[in-house]
Amino acid sequence: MFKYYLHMAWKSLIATPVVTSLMLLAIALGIATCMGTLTIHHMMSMDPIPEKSQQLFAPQLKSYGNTVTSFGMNDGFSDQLTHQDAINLRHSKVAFRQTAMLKTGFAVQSDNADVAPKLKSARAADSDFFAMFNAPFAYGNTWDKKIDEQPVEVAVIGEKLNQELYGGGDNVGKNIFLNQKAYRIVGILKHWEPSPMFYDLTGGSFNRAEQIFIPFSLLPVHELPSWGSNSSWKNEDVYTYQDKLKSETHWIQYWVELTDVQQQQSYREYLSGYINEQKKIGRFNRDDATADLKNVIQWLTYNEVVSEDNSVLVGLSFLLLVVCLVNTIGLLLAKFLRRAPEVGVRRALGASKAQVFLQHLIEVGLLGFSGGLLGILLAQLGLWLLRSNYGSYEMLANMDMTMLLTAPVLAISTSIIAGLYPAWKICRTQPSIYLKSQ
Amino acid sequence: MLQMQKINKIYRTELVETHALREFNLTVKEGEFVTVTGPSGSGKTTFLNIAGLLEEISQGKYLLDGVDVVGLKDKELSRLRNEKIGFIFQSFNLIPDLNLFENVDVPLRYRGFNAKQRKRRIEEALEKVGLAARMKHLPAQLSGGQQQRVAIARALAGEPKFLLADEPTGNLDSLMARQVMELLKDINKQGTTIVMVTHDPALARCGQRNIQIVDGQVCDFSLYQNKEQNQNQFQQHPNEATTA
Amino acid sequence: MFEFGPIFNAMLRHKSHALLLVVQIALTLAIVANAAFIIQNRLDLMNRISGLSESEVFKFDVFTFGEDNDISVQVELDEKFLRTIPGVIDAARLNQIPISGSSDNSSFSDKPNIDGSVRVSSGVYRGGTHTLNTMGVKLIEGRNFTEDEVLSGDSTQPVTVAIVSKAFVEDMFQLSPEDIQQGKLQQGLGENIYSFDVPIKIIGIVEKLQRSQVNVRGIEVSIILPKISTNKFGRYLVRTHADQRQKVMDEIEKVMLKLYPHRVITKPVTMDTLRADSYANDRMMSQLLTILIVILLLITSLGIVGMAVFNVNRRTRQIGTRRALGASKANIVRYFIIENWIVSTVGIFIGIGLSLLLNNFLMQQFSLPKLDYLYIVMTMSGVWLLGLIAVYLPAKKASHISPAIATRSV
Repeated sequence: MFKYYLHMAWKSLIATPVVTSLMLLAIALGIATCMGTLTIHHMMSMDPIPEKSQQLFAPQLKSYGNTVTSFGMNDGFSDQLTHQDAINLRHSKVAFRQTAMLKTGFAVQSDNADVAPKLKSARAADSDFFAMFNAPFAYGNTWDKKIDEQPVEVAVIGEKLNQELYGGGDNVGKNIFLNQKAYRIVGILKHWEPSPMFYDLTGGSFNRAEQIFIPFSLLPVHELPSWGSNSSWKNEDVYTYQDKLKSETHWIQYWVELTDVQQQQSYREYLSGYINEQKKIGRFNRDDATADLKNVIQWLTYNEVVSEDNSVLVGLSFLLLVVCLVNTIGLLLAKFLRRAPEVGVRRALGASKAQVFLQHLIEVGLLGFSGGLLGILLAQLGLWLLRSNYGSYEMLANMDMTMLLTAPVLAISTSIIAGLYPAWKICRTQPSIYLKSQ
Repeated sequence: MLQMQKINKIYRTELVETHALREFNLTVKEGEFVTVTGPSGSGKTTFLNIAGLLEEISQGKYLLDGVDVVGLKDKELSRLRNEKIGFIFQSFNLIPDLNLFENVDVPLRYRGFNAKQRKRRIEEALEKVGLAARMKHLPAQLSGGQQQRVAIARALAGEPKFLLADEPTGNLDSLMARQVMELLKDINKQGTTIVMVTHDPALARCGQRNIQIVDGQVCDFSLYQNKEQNQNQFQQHPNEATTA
Repeated sequence: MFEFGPIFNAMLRHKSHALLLVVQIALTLAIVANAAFIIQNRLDLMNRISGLSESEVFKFDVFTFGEDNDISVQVELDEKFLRTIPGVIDAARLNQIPISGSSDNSSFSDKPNIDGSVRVSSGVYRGGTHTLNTMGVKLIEGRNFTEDEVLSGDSTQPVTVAIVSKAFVEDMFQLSPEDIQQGKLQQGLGENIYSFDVPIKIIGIVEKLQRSQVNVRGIEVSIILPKISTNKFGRYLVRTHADQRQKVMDEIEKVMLKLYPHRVITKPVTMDTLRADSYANDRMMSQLLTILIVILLLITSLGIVGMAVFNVNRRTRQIGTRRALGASKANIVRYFIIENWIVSTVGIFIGIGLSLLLNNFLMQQFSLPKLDYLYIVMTMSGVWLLGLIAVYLPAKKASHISPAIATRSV
């Protein structure tokens, strides 16, 4: 019977090619619009590290002085730390893992000195960084923990840079030249691009992960400049790098890994202890000087990673889908009711209401399925256009499996919803009316 | 009232030319009740469409109430149809979305009467066909005979000089058909010219004059008359329609 | 209104069809009005004037990694050399470039003590005497820096003078537009402002100079301090004759490396490129919304066309009858247009309400401004027109139905 219905549905759809194409186009456009905006939304709001997002925390300290009325984010916390706070927190042994971080950059060369150096961003971090953020190694490993205290010029590089500078392969032990200084490569990462780049959102949420990682302890040695945000609330004379290290400038990112609730509690206690300690030496002199811990998900929300624009677009495109829905209901109603005489005959020949209803719903479902497939194609086209015009959307404008499956489901359910009323209306027609001549 | 001279009507398709009317001549005087009969495919419908200005002629001359209609523009033809001709169709052609009042109102609107005039005429016309009480009903709520009476009211409301009826009883049973015919006779008595197309010889006799169309031409009346009458005795009333 | 009553009554007898179209038109109006308003907002943002002579300038960055280089000396050499390149009008080393995104901001106040002072957050440009001329900004009050006033980047002396933007003066001294008209702007000249408790005297006012971040409040509030940065990473702004800009840009890397090789010269970019990058999100939003509007209008017109086509088909016989009863072709076209007009109008009026509701919702949920009613009016007219266009062809087709159809038996 299903095959028969499908056959009839097909015949009915091709019987009115113009109206069928109108409906198909409307459904496809509606689905494509929704899928496009939804895909970006989905990618923006994706948990970049689902296996650990509840265990990684960014500590925040309300460290600014009581002479300042507002500083940092809306809640009065800054999204970064001062260098001295970062160094102090690094000394604690409460967290399972921890890392201080700074985005910097170098003129980068391989061991081939003939190739002109390229300007590239790099990240100064601690040895725990890779294990904390599940960055996988293809070759080698992170640097020795001792280097976090006693700086040595070593580097971990990403897959892409390894390819670019050395043509790929195991290059552990070779040197990479950063500002003409040799750094020994101790590890090479596999492809690793967390999106959003949650561990440092100060320069935008969807940047690509850096391709060079060096020990944080090298900061004072090479006076690594900040390539990120620096904000200060205090009038200090900052002339030298040493001045900056000691200053109240907020420019260091900091993350801790806390494996369970107990550890999180201990860390919170440790932070409030730290604030009290600092108060004694004259820092943190605000009454509301407190600390906060935010996990990855909270951090993404806090930094408004999903752009407001995208939410507006998703909302509007769903309204557009409603318009498509209403449009389809209207056209289906007109189409079905024109077929009422035929349905009258079918009813007289013994078709039950349920059978008539089902027959029409199957027709609508077929329409929705085709519209959905066409919609996916259109959405892919749209996303491709988006990727080629806006570089920053290269990672975002990609449909993953969830999205690819969502499209036909959305299309079919939308059109079935659209078809319910017309199908109900047609199956309720009295056969007798249409059997009489006019 | 109606003067047709040497009218030719040719339908062209890609493959064939069909001469629906050839050298067709007919004159109908004011106040006459003329019936038109003929076998199917003879050109009755074409004659009707041309007489009612629904189709243009290919060649020839046609004067309607003294107006030469050949070469008139659509707008002028529409006005002539509206003012001079009242139509009664076999399938009534009431507009299903409109109630009786609104249906009778349709030609009056196109005429451009004001609301008061229209209301008076509609009520009079519906009164004449005995359906004034059901003004607010939709056509679907009426029987076939009643629907045709509404159609007649619609044709009369504009007080046309010339009533063109196309098998007006074709879809009605005999009782209702008789009522409708009586109504038409009354209307004719009040001075309206009527041309009625039918394939029913019994009805054809209701008029003052009968014209036969055969093969797109007016046939000699006397030649066929006897034969028709003989046939008629064996013929049942041509009635396909069921009662509503 | 011609035939208005019967058309309306006939429509009421097919309520669901008309109602669906009404809903569709109302929603369309609401979405389009709001989307168009957002687009216009973004376009307004993007079209704000930077104050620079944009067609004549370009920027590039320099990153010095050689250790044997005294950057403060090198900067002077670089600047001097750049100014000698044929086609170049002027060049300056700056700490940041307008609308480039990367920024240096600071707060200033009108009094040294914090209590009761007006605080203004401002974009801070640092550069020498060539800054104004290189940017091409217009000095409307006061004077430029003198060479003695300009400090080197490694100097520990505080700056004592500044040139500020008109918007800076307005904010700092809380001047209204009327005050400006009465010439009170120059009162700001010679006043001291304070960075923490360090006094800085305003010696010049420029008409307009945007900050480097475009998504901040007070985008035109900026200050120029006479200090040339000597970081390893530095930016240069070069002003050329417009027709020679590309030529200069093409050779910039080569000549800069010739001056001193152990550094990276980034690709020179024009203000157009900076603008495109800085406003990429706004541009994308307005493009996506435009696509959304086009799709929506397309769907709605398809809906109107579809319904009209169905209506024409459904009513073939009745149209023939009307023609036989004396309706001219124009009457038939008019019938469909009036019918569509009624539906559109009802839809539009419901749509006005929906537009306001939607805007209200957007205002509550997101930082969107209040809808300018002009957009409702414009969209209304657009939807009306669209309805007319969409229904015209089917109506035209209907008018060609032969009246002879009425004599055909069923």
